[in-house]
Amino acid sequence: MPPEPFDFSLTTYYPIFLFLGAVIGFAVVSLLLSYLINPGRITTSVKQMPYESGMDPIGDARQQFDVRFYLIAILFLVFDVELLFLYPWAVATYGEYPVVTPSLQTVLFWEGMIFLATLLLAWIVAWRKGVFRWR
Amino acid sequence: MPTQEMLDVTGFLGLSLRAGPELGLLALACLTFLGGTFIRGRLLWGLVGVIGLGFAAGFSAIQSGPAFAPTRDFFCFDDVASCVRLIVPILGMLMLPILVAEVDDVRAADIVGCTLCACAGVSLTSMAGDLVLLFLGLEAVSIPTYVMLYLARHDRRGQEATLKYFMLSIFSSALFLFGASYLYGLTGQTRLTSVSSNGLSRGILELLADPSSQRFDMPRTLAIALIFVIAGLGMKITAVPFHFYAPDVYQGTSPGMAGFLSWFPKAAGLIALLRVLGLAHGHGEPFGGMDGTLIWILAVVTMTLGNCLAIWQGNLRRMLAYSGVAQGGYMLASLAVGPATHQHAGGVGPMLFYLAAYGIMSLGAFAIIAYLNDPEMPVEHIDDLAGLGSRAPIASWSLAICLFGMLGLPLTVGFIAKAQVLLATLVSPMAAGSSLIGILGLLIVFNAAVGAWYYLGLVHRMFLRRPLGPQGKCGPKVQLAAGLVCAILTVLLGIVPSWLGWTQIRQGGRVHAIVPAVTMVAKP
Amino acid sequence: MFELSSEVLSGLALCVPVLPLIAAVVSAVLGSTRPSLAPLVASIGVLGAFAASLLLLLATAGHGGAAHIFHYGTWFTISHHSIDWEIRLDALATAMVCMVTFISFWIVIFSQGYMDGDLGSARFFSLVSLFVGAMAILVLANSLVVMFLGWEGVGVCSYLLVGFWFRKPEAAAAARKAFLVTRLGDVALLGALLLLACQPGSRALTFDAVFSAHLDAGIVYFVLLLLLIGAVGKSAQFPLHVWLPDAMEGPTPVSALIHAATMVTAGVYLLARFFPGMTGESVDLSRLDAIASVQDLAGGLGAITALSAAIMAMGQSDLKRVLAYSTLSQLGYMFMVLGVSGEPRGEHLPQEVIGVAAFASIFHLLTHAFFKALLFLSAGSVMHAMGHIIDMNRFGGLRRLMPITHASFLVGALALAGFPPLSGFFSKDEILLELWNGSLTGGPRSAFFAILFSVGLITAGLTAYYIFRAYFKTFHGEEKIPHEAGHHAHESPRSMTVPLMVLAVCSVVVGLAVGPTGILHHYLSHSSHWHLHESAFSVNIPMILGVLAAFTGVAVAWMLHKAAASTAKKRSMGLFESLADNRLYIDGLYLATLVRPLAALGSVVGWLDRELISPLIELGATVPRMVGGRFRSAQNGLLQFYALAMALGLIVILAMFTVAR
Repeated sequence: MPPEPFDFSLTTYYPIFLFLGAVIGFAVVSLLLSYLINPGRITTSVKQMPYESGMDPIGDARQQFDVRFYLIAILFLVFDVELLFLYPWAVATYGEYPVVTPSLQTVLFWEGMIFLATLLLAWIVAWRKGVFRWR
Repeated sequence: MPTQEMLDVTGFLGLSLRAGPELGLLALACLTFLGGTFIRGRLLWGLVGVIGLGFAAGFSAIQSGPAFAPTRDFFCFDDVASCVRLIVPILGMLMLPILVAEVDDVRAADIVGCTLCACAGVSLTSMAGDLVLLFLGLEAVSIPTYVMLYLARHDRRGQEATLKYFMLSIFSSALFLFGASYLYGLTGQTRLTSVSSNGLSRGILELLADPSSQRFDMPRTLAIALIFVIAGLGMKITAVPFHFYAPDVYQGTSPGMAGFLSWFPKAAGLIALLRVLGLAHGHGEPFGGMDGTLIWILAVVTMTLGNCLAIWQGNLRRMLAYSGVAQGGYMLASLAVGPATHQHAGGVGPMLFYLAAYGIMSLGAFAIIAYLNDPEMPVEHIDDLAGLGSRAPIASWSLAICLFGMLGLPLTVGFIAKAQVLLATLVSPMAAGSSLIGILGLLIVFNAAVGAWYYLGLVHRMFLRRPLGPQGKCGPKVQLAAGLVCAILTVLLGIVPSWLGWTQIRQGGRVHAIVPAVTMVAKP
Repeated sequence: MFELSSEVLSGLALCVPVLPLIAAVVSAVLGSTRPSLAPLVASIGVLGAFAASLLLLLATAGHGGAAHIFHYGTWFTISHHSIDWEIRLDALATAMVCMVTFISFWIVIFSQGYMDGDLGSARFFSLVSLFVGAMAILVLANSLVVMFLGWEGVGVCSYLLVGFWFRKPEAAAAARKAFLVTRLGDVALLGALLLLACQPGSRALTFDAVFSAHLDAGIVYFVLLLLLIGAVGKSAQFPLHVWLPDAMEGPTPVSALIHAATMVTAGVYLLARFFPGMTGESVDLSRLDAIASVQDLAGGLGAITALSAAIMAMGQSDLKRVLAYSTLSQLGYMFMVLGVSGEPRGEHLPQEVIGVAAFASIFHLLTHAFFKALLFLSAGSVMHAMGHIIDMNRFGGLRRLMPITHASFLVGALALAGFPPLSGFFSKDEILLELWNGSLTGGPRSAFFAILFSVGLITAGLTAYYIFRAYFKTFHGEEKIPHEAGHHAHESPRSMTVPLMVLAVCSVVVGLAVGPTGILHHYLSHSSHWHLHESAFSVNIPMILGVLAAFTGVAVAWMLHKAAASTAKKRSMGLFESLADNRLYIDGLYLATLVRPLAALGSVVGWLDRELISPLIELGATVPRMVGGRFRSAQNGLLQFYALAMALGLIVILAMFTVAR
């Protein structure tokens, strides 16, 4: 059977445009409101503070993080995504209602292994490059 | 859901084998990344890369030999693929020495691995019959490029260039994906085209070309989809207005890496474009001519602005970046001619020829610039080349030949390439119906004349000027060798262009090598 | 004269372009290690080419007929066009290539003396050989694309040779100007080729295929128009003539070879092939009409160039520039006669008329090559002796110092002025005769041809005047030698005087030998597409008028020279006042009636050149720069802006294709 094209046209997307309109509208309205109801141009040093009624901020908001945090984060992401992929892979291949024929199961098994091997390889490379050394 | 027929085990393995060169290159890249952490050495990994690419080229050549039967499915094995899969490893073999000579022993393996990945990516793009594979191929070019940009040069300017390229590249990838999602939405599948014996399974291109399947507000939605896809690819092709990054990045990165950028992403983008638009498949006008007009506009703006801006540049790499923009415009012009029909060879064959020719000439030029570049005294300004003719005659002649080629002087491969594009525009069957394509031919001629200005300006500086200041030392000889090979190829293929026509066409069931290049004629 | 087998002919024909090319490569390679060998290699290469072309000439002279076409291989194929490496050997090509290689050989010999001691002389000889090879390709090519290759090749060589002394900024600027201006013409020529290529049913871009193709009259018109623009660029005709006078910055042998004898004639050669060729085999009136309207343009441009260049030559004090303007003017002559279109005349078919006109232009092209090369080389010899001073005000009276140069310049000047029986006389007469005949037909164009004829006649007088003015200034009067000359101030060495003598003899003999005897006429009548009818040599009215004009010009030059000399004497010695007054009176008369108006005209033409034509040409170069400049500011280096620009571009495209529909 040739796959049927979806009933697709821009009109079916109208909720998205509604949503878009609401988002933009909210932004515009709140800016407008604050402009309209603010009590006037009183500019004292207190008024200029980010938090008028809180503690004085200490230091600069822009802080430099050590780049190693990012490396760790990326490595975490790699394993995270791996899990995300492996779960449906396992279900599709070996689940209660497998969607593939038994002969394809073998192929898909080895495909999964190749995927894992690639990740392992990447992990070894990262290790050898000294990503895990916290100096 | 995939059909059973497609996922048949033997079929699957067979397909994997047919994509052997690409898979092999990717595996070799993984090995290189891993091995590089154990053994360091520029020579070793450079050799590994070159040999691997050599095998890939040989394998592709065997595959596209006389026994080659075209298929169009998830993997498209057709004339376009077999042509690109030969050009890419060969240019990769020329590219590798240039890049490896620019980095130190520690980074050598990484840059080799990335180059292999990128080569595999361009190849995969050329054989992509599916939007997913297409995107995979494009990303296999883009992601290594980010890494390579950093590896090649990591001072402040290099970092700025890397960041610019990275940001704009992911932006363009997002645009492409957005467009691709619309295409999927319109047709319900990601397969671009498929030719099956029962004629039941139809790809995006067949569905869109079939008026009976158009039952909703198609033209407008389709226009949005295509414009986003073309815009996403436009950044790789450096089509105006998606070209802004090019001069900054070329200037910020090393000369060899600029050479890489001038060809590999551009090739991937152009080939992806002709796959998505179905130009490789000889579909008449799948998109009602809209894409033709859009590409026409892009081509005109790109080549004109590229050339006009190149005139102004004082920085050598910036100038070559704009020249690359203009060259991309010529190739887009060739694509604007449209696909092959029964009467007419179309613009795809000339485009592929131009792509190969431009690759040779551009790599040659950048190889020589990389060779001349001394870290202590970098060759930045075009005046730094003054008086080069007497200082480094071989290098300057090689560079001059490559520039002559890009200018399109006769007896260089650039001339044949330009002549083919020109004739494609002028002899096009559409030229009768719409004068637009004919005008395109005239614009190409005028642009070529403008190009003469700055290309000859460089030659003029090299041979007819005295050096302005102290001269730096020349770099590794291997870069000079790569440049020389490119220059020799430029002349040789200009005299015997048929050597670039490895690929075959099938007409009347007979397979014969065609001269000079890929003149693709649609099969019934 | 004798028979050669087709294989031998093919091999010989191949030698003509290939030997100089090999010589170019060898002398370039040798240049770095053994520069002294470069002239030898170059002269052997060019001599070989000349020997081969002479053999070809002799072998084909007897049985002429159809052109030989030799196939050596295929260059490339585009869709259905096959571009082949083929040589087309017909009478016209053989005669041209013989002339080119012969003159080139003697110029190479001359250069050995002239360039002696110049750094980079190996580069010079390599480029000259390359030029000869490219010119041979241009002349011999069968395919128009290969011809274009040669056309571009000679352009590149000319660029490199004009800028040979690139340390001089004027030379570098002149080289660039020459290249850019001629490239305008090249683009037009390329356009013509493309137009021919995209004609339905065109299979090959060879001369025969194009001439026999069934083309629409409109297409014929546009093809010829584009070819004319190409020829105008190469042959330095108005308004693309601006590069040639500047090109005199190159070494003098180059001026003699490229900018007088050979390359600049390529345009004439091209048109002389195409105008008769495009008529087709049968009389097709609409086609003839199309050709005629392009020919009108060619004739008009030729007339403008001939007259204005002659006027400009009159006021020059730079000897080489006099010769440069003279070259322009003579090329203008050739274009003028190419403008004689095929109005049926008596019993002759239009094709025949066009063919005869083409013959006249080619005849003048051949003789002009000899005497103009001679004049340039003589000027080079003077320059060599005077320590590269070329201003005629700074030397004079050299006839005793340099007897051989003096004699050869005199022969060249007489030939240029058209004195019988020197070669210029016969060919110029042929041109004037054709224009005269054209004006007598009574057809719609006869008035136009009458104007062309009178322009030709006036120019003949002016030519005689300016060349003899230069002659008298240089070789007569008081002996005057600039201090730069140093110990050089003597007759040039043997390697320079021998070519002068050879070319002088040729300038005397060639016209007489091939013109009135009908040899050239008979030989070229075998050139396909030319339908020459036999004609006997006879004295006629235009000839007499031409000779009279020449005598008048020389007489005026002589008188003005005498007058000037006597004024100088008066100032220095204060003697012979009454006589000097008398002379001054004559001087004043001439000044008022002839020199002043002409000088004014000259300055107007010069002003037009400076203020109108140069800016127009520069405008073509400025537009891309301006466009680029407009968009430069967008490149501000900000990542955010780039992304924004991409997004804006996307939105514009989206708006164009979705909202507008």
